Amino acid sequence: MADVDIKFRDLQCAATAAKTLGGELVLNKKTFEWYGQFLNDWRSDRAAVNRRDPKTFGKCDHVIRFPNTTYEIGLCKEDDGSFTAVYDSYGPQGRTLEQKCGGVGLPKLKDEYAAAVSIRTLARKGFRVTRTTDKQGAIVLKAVS
Amino acid sequence: MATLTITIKNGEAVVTADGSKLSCDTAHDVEKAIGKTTKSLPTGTKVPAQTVTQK
Repeated sequence: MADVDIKFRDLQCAATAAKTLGGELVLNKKTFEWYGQFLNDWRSDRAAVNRRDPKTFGKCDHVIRFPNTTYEIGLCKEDDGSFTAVYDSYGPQGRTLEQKCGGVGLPKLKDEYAAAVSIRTLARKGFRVTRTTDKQGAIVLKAVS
Repeated sequence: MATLTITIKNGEAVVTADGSKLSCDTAHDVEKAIGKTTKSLPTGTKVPAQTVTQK
């Protein structure tokens, strides 16, 4: 089980990010799909067991899911009101989930969430925003007021 | 007219405006950087193309 270095503070933007990558946010789904059994066989800085009780694995407040994999990303509410993310990277199901989100650590999900938050923030401030992708694959937002 | 550019890749974002660049690790930081940047943007500011960060 892997932790994702992300904090979702806006579920609407999380939904936008998931949709952009071909997935969906399912609100109030209290369990997420994973291997289903904690084997305690993975040591890594990313391992969720470093900061979560294995008894909580598979439990969450909301879920992000994608087609072609049964595994899902669980969003877990933190004390500050934000949501952190956890998922099972094990096996073909886990790898497919990672591929949908840009690889290990789900970088594309993080980038799309940052883009959604940026666009929302800029729109509230009266900016018109255009989105492109540069040659290196970075999301480029150009905002004009 | 004010122009602002945000470049996002691999979990990092760079907010560029008026020749200044702010690097951010999280979406919340980006939000704060946009607020900080737009507050200081004078009317008529246009960002020169060379200040756009290509990560």
